Amino acid sequence: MSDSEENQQGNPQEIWSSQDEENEGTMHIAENPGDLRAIAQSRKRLQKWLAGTSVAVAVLLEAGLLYNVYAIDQPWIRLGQAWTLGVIAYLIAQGFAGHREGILEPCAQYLALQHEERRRGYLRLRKQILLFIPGILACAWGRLLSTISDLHAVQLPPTAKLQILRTNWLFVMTGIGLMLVWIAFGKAAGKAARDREQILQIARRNA
Amino acid sequence: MASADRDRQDALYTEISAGNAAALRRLARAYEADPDKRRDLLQEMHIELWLSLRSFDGRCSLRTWMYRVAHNVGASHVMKSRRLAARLVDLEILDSGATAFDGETCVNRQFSANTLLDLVHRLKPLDRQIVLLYLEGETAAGIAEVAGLSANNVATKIHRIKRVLKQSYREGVRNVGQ
Repeated sequence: MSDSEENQQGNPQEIWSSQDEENEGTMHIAENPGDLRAIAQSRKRLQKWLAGTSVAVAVLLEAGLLYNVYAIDQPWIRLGQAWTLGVIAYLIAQGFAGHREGILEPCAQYLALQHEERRRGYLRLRKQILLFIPGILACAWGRLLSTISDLHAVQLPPTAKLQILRTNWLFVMTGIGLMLVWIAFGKAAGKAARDREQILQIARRNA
Repeated sequence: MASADRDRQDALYTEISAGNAAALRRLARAYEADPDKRRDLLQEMHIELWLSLRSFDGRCSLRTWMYRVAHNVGASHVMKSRRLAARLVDLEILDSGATAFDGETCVNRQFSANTLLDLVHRLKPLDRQIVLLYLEGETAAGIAEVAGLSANNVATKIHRIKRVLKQSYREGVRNVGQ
């Protein structure tokens, strides 16, 4: 910018630093170390509470599944329930996300790290979705077999096929839904990888 | 944590926040336009800064440390909003004129401040950091240290920033003339 233009418009750095006085006098936040410590501790407590609640809900779900494993006669459904029980136990064991990583890194490296974490997160979720599918398939197959055997037992007319479809549509729709989510997570992971590569390319320039 | 460590952490925080409270407020404004969300973001910056100072080892200046933490919190904030992040552009695109700049039509100090904010809000996080550090008066070497880029790379970007500011200023003058 030429000097005359700068004089007319004002120096950008000067304008930038002067806006604080013009607009922003009344923003009240905790800036005292004691207050910040209190906020940090209350967040930690909240995180612990959330973790505890999640574990409690998961344990209840596990109890329900365990009951099904013993109570249901159809072996495929039983197998599906047992598989899902195992998957949920595995997911609980994986633990919960921790503190923000890499906050002290230079900004370019931090951004690259964030994109990498995003990519890994999407792929992890995709893998977890995949883990549920055998259980769902086993339950769907078991349900189909028991429906067919019921239909044979009561000698129903040719509308039987429709009946079978009706009783299994929920499993089919869940399967299709999971597949779509799986594809979407894969695409999102690809986008995160491209974003990361873009940042790294900028960081490597003239390095 | 030992009491001495805690005292050191508090002292470092008090030292850095006392001299840079206004800079942090400006930075929060550059990352969030909505006042309520901005207050939360600014609070987050202070909390993360205070927490980070527990491990301050003097490998860089306290000011560089503060900028890294605050910008990283800001960048995370921008990245959280997927829809917003998708609309952000590189400095190169603004410089090439591919994106029309739609500032106000009044050339005065307020216009200039709004124009700057407008420009900053449209940039991707890394370019935004460089523009903001330039506007805060940091040197190319200082910006390079905060951003993790080479000084040459930063100097090129600063050159572009100046060109974009000049272009937006001229467009403002032209709009007033019409």
